[in-house]
Amino acid sequence: MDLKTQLTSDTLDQLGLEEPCCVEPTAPLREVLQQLQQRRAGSALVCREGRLVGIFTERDALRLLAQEADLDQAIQEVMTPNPVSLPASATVADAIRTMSQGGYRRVPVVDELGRPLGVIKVAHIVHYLVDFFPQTVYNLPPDPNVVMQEREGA
Amino acid sequence: MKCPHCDHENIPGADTCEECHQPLDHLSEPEPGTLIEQRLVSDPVRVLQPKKAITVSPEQSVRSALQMMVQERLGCVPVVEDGRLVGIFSERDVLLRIGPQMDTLGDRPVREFMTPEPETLYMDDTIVFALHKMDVGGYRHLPILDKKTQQVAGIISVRDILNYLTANL
Repeated sequence: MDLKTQLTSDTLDQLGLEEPCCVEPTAPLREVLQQLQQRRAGSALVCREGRLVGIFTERDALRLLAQEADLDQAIQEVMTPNPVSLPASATVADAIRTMSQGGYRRVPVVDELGRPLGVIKVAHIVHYLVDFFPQTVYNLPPDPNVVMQEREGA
Repeated sequence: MKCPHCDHENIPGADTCEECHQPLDHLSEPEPGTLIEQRLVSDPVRVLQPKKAITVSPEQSVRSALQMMVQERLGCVPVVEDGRLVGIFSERDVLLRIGPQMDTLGDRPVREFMTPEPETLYMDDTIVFALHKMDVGGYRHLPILDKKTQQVAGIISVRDILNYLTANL
């Protein structure tokens, strides 16, 4: 199957989504930063009664830390409200288009009721593409211009 | 798989024809992919028009590096000392290594929090090679070195590759 067909037929639930890091809208910024650090996650989904209402990413963290913002304010003050999300039935091509157009590296995946199922990361897409080109990617020729300084072995 | 010489029906993937012993291995070579596949494996990262990298010094304070990244809208900056690339400092490093301790760690030098000796590329490396490096290391940015001078010539991000892909799909 060629790349284009596969991209437009494979859906996000086949990719293995990252377990989302969910926080309450009233959680203080400091706590969210600590949670992201502990879980080594790059984004937190802000959920009210189980439904996605906002997202807070590394990029927001960078901006706030550079401003030396108040770390005790609630996450809902600084999150990006109503983020762009995708259904689990969206295709990989949809995700690539959404990321490319919006400049996002993480897109929440939600069910029909707006409950988060996971996050699709740009790293998932990279891995997916690399999987598609196994022969070419793993068999790249060594640099022909490299001259060995010393003879190998004895 | 029909032999082009004698029309004998062979099992798929056979190297020689059972009937006339003519070679058949050229028939089972993989088909060249579609245009986008060919371009990903043959186009060098040069076609992504890598951005000029804005660099920081390892002695610069974390606070000033951060402010620069926000101002210039950069996710990551190469750290250069005496013209040589010694590390890379990214959003991820900020979040994971500094996070809420910004007030106490802000005046420390970038050297303590950067990722040393990052993976690099040359302008002539293929896009798919860049993708592979990003996948293996989990990177979103790769600095590009000039082959002759070994100095930083630019930087590409995974976003550049996604944009390239959407433009060509």
